[in-house]
Amino acid sequence: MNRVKYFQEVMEIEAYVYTAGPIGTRWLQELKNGRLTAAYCAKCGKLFLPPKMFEPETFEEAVELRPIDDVGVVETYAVIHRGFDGEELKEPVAVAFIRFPGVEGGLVHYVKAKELRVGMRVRARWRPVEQRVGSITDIECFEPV
Amino acid sequence: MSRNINFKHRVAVVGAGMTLFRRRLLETPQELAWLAAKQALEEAGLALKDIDCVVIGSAPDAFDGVHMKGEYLADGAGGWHKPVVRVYVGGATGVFTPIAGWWHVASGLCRKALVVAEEKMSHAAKPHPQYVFRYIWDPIVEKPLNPNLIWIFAMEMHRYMYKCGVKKEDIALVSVKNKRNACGHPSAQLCDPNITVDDVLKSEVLVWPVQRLDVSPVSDGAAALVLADEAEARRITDTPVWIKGIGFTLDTTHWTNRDLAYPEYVRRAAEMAYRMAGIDNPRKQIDVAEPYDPFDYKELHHMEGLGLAKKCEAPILTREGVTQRDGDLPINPSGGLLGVGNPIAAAGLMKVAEIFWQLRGEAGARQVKKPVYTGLAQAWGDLMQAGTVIVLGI
Amino acid sequence: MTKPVNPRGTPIKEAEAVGIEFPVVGKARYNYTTGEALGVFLAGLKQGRILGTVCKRCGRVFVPPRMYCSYCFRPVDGWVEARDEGVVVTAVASYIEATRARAEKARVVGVIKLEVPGYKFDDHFFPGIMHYICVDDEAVKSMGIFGMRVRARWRPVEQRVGSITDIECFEPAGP
Repeated sequence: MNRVKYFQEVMEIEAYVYTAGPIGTRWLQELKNGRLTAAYCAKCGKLFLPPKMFEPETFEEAVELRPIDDVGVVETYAVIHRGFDGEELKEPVAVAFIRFPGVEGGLVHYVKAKELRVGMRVRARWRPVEQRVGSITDIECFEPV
Repeated sequence: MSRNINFKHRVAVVGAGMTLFRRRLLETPQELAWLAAKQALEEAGLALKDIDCVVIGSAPDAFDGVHMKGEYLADGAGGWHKPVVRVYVGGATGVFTPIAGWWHVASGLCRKALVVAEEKMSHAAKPHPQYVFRYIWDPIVEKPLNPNLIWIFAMEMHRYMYKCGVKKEDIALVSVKNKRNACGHPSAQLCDPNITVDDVLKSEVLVWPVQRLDVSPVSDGAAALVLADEAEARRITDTPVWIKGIGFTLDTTHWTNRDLAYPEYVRRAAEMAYRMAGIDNPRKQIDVAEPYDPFDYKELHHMEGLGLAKKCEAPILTREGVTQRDGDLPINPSGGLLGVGNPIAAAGLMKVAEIFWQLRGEAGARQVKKPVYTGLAQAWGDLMQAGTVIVLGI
Repeated sequence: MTKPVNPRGTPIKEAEAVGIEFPVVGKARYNYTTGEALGVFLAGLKQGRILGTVCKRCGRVFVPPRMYCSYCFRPVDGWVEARDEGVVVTAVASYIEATRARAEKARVVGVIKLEVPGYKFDDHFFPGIMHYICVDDEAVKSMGIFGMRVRARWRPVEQRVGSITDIECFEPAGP
């Protein structure tokens, strides 16, 4: 195979800078304040996550965020044993899809639990205030209630 | 009545909407799509539940920085649990999107379709959104030369100038006209009522003969249309605007093997659309046009490809004022990409929306002086390859 | 009333962007293969030759080469050697890099229509490649470069690697 000529390139640019939208930006600020919120559609009365400025089923605008309890239920989960390059991780990492009572949708996040199972009630473990930056990772992980 | 007899249904545009076009917008790509789609639905007096299928247009995933952008945009574009397709032919995407919407409705597959185009170029922030275009070049024979996208347009512009004996002053008139026209457009990013040819000629030289004010800006934005078959269109509005003809073609990617002075890819697409629309003398039968103008020379080039001017004649018509809003053949009354902005796919669809509003007499401050019955929008893309044309009429 | 009525969107300045920065360097690496025709083409460059393919049905010569004639939609009939000389059909002077940063000095680049002994070509389809042209940017601005005869300036044999850059640039060939 050493006769095959390859041209190596790195895709595509150096860095992306994403914006979170009007309601998404406020949602991240609320995380920084240690508060979990959900988008509220005044027209259809639905609370939903992740937040965006419209409710996709009714197509109505959502401008309001309402606080929700940071306790959710594990809907499903996966345990990751290998990293991006296929290397064995020192410690497996569990990610779960977490639903919150009365809220459409939910969040994907890390869960740290000895015996993780579907249906388990989990609560957000917040980072210390001085470490929060306005990101989904301001919640370090979820852990059993 | 058009010669468009081989299709099951005539198709009408019954509503249009769009966002502001700006260098950076806070909204996410999905939210931009929603703002445009919602406005188009409201203009048509419809709700999302009335829509049968959704067609999305968006250029490289690498701008928004989200792979499978069509799937990502779907819920903002109204595609929740509906048949959705995303189309993509580079810069020609914006006009290709309603073309794809047309065949959904003309075939009888859907009665009402929502057509949405979105681009958020500002996400590809570092080093510059332009860098994304590095990956359209041939990786073996072109990319090792470290090309910038503007090279190829500069080469086409220069060849056109050489073959037709056009001066940069004549080409700059297009930029001046469009940036002034844009002052009548509520979404415009680059309105400049006082811009002169001198400003264009004194702006930063990027790749000679291309200078900064010869080029449209980097933009974020979205646009949307609602299409309907004849029976639905008559129920929705008293003033439907009919899609009379559509055309699209691709030329070869080997652009170094052909003459760049004349856009063959546009001529062929235009001929297809004209045949369908029953147009045999476009200069007389088209009342207003929105040819694609990401660069100022491109408007001239495309007018010639579209048969709205003879070869090398477009700069003369421009100098004589024929292409002004109060002229005999208004060209880019919206302000085009040079004035309104260039969120790639959304910019092409903005042009179709402009023709829709012009034909309905709803362009307000931008309304052209002469009465208009038939209009055209066109876009182009890739390595001087893709041509897409749509003819609308009342 | 002017449509669109009150188009929405929230303009922001770069500094205000409450953004989430996501670096991608080093994440997706591509290995492009040359394919058949370009593989032979690059091997030819290493020997200082510019090779193309020919379709005998329509008489088209393809440089850069491909294995099929896209017009007749059939395999090409064989190889021809182009001269390393031709005329400039278009050229530009670039003052920016691929990153959009200002370049230190102007770089002239253009399309060269190559000669192939025994064949004649019109303006509509011809063997042609994009390459650097080693002339001053004034030759571009004056348009004197159009139609200029140019010849490949090859890198020394030991520096060639089988790449389009084995040709350093094209330079004026004289009358």
